[in-house]
Amino acid sequence: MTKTKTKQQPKRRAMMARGAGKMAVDFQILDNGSAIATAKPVDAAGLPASLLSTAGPGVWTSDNPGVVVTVDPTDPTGLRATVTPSTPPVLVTGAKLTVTSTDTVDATKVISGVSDPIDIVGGPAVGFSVQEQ
Amino acid sequence: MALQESLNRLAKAMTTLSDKQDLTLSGVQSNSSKLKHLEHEIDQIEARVKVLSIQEEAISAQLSDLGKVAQEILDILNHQFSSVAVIFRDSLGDEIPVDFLTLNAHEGQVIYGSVSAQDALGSVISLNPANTQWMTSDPTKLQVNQNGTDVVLNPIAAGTALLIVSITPNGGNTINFSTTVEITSLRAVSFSIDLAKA
Repeated sequence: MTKTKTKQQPKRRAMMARGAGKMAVDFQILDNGSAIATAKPVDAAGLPASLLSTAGPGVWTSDNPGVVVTVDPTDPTGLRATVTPSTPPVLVTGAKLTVTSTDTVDATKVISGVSDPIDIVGGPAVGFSVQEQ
Repeated sequence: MALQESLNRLAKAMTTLSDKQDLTLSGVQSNSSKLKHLEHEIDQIEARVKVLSIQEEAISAQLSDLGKVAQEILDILNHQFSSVAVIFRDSLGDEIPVDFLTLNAHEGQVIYGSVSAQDALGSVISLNPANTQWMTSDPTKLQVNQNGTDVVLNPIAAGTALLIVSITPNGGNTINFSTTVEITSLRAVSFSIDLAKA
């Protein structure tokens, strides 16, 4: 079985086309790149607000294993994280991050937020993958 | 002749006497009428005196009441507020403008209020905590915890509430001071996530 670039291009173009259509919404990360995610507390109106002093640190999760989110160890609030593609990277479309803070005194007080969709996209071609049939 | 003269003199004397008797009787009758008139006048005067006496008592009572009122007015004037100052401070001690007080509904953020008063001479009027009452028009939005004459305000929920302080100096009049408190909800309910390329 031989899988060549020529066979991948239509799928790639279609994916890029979808990505281009979501450029205004999706945040794109190259498969060898990374990003910084920062969570900001907001009130019901979306205006900046303050967390309770008893608010717990932020806990980050990704709904797609192709996108890895790691909390910044230098930030005690846990509201800053690094976003990277998985190893090895895979193309991802529309992955979302979730950050949650649970009150350390009243566990029923949970604040969370969801990021805009994240795409993991390939960079410029640097070689060919050749498979022999 | 001498006898005749004597008789004449006697007759004349009798006539004179008779005339005098008539005059006396007339005078007595006249005096009796005057006496009755005087008695009537005396009765009227006594009645007037009684009326005046009653009026005097009434006037005396009214003067007494007026004296009490005057004393109360003086007491009030002596304690009349010429100025009332209400000061609000945040937890850091910074003064908050009072014209339109805005409180933050975020938990743990409280406002401290104090009130003082001065009379027309600039003397500070001592306020009795029992006569100083802080109130809120809507305790579901603004909680008022009075401590002496001071107050601690706890915002509960978003909205507006009227904050009222009613102060009454001893023997003076009650003054109400009120201000609108706007409680804005800044409680964080979610996170907004910003993404930036590293």
